[in-house]
Amino acid sequence: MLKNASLAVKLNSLVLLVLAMLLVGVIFLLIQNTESLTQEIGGERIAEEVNIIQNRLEELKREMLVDTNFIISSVSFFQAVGRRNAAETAAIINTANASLGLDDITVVDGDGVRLVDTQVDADTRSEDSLLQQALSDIPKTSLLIEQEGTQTAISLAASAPIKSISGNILGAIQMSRHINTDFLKSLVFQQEATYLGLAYGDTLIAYSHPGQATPADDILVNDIALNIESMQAAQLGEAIIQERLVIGQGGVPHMVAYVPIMTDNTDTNAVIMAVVELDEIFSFQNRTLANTILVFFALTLVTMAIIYANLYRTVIRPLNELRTSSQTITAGQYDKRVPVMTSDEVGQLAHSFNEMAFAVQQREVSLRAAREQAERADQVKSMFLASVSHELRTPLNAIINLTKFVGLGMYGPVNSEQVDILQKVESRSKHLLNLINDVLDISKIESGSLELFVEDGLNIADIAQSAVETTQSLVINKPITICLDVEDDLPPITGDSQRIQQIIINLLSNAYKFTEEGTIHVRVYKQANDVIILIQDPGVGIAPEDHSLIFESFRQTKDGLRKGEGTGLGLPISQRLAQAHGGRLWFKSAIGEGATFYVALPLKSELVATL
Amino acid sequence: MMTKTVQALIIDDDAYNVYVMERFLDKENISYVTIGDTSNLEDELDRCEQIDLVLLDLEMPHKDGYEVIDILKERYGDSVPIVACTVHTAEINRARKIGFSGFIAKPLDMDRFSDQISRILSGEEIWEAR
Repeated sequence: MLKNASLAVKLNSLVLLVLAMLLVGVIFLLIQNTESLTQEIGGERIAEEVNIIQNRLEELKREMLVDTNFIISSVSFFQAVGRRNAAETAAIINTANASLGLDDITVVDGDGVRLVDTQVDADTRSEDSLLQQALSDIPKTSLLIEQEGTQTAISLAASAPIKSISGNILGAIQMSRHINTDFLKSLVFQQEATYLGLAYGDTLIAYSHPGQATPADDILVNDIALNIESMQAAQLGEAIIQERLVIGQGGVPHMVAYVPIMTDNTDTNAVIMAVVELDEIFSFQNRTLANTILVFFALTLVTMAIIYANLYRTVIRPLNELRTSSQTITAGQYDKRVPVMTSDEVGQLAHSFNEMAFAVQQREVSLRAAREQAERADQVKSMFLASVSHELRTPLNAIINLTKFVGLGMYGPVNSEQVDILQKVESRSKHLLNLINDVLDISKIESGSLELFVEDGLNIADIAQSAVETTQSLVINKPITICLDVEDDLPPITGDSQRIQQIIINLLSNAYKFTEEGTIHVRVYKQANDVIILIQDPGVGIAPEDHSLIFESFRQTKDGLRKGEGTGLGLPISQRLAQAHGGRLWFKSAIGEGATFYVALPLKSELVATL
Repeated sequence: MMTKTVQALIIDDDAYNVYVMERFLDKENISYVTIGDTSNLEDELDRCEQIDLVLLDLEMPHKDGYEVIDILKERYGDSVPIVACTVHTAEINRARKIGFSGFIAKPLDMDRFSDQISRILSGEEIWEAR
């Protein structure tokens, strides 16, 4: 992915990766630690809360017994009860309750007949049961469970017998306090983030903070619902503190406990569910996390900046210098060197780069010298060849033509023997001229300076006809006929007519040279986008091992060498001339089956006519 | 009936070349004037009367063929065909661009010369580097 990114990006990505992994580790540890810290603190908080609730409950129970005793020890009271005076008893009770603030006080006479009932309940069974026990001289505190329609009301109750001074049981008193929102609030007292609920049966029936509870789902606060198993365990008499954190709404951790109201294990029990919200620790954890990430981010930026700065100074800038220097050298300025600033790996690279640049410079100097020398030599060669050609051709003009004049008898009569000799001189001179022309051609081809004399509208039939006529005049002493067959209506072509003619004459001369008797066929025809000139001889053919040799300059087959004459230049020159026309020259041959040479010249030439 | 004789101008520094050319022209019944030294070309040309054809060598001391053709063009305009006669066959493209009317390679070929001359005199251009 980062294969093509710059060095700085690569390294900084690596740093980023390392720091990110470190950050993940730190966050993991942080969460683990804060979780156990939350657990610890939450455990302490909930234990404290349970303690408070238990103490407060015990205190309330004691208070109620004290209050009961206070009332029944009043002489006027037990006398009123003894007299079964309901009005008097009620007056005393009302006076006392003004300061006690109890929810329900019931007084019965020795027969169990109600004298006073400050709150008449629909369901008096548990109340009656308590009073009955009190009449049997059993004072106690207990839970009063009263059904009011579908609602269950639970009260903390105290009951006691009312006795005369002599100890006779005159009646019984029962007083109770409703365990409702106010009661639970008083238990919470000033503890913050603490929520209480009263659980009875399988449901919560009272809440310290009814506004935050959802009674339908037995949710006390923040999505934390009643745990029935724990509640039932607590009903047996021991406070249950749930060991693990309970995660409520919004991920806030809570501790939950269940505190039984009655601990003597004799009566039906109700349980107070206590929830401590550990929001402070939770938000502290969140803040710490945010701060850690922020610090890491800042740290990462600073680290990356430092790494980049260092990297730039020690690696990137020297590497850039190396790059621009090598570009400069590539562009031809060979004296360019890079500064060696350090002795580290980069410095060593710069040093060896300079050594390499020096070596390249040395080589360039010697190469340039060698090239200049070669160019000079080539120029000298071209001038020499041009000069030789001129110097050789000029006297040949006189030699060939003056020989001819003599042979024609322009300077007096010559006999037939002399004419024969003079014709031989002329023929050998013309052969010498051809040799000179071929050498000049091949040297121009090899130096790339061969120029064609290009004309438009060439008639290929005329050129072939002229080439055949020229060759026929050379054919002597062999029973060979040359047969020319030109396709009708060939389109005109663009090219150098004398060079095309030269190609055909070369191929015809070869065909003649390697044929003892028979017919040499010359065919000119159109094929696809080319004009094809075919020269087919019935001669000795070309051995496979000679197939590549015959297009090499100054090379001839053994057969060719044995026959003498020829320079070994005809075929290479012809092939290059065909190529200079944008065409091709090739052949098919086998020993004893003659040879067929093909010249293909494009109908649509890219050559441009001279002028 | 008197047929008007054709007069050619040969400009060539090589005496053998001039000799061969003169014999060729003799065979064609063409009269000729020869200038072998181009150093006083203007004076030499002044002495020439009617000229119908120029056969001009390219490589010469003093003034070479390319300098000479400028002078000839100035004097005769395009009315007189000027043919390059040289051993430097590679000059054919340059000669055509410079404004020659034809190109005949040396050594001269007796078998083709008659045809070459008559085509030039009939107003044709001939370009034969071989």
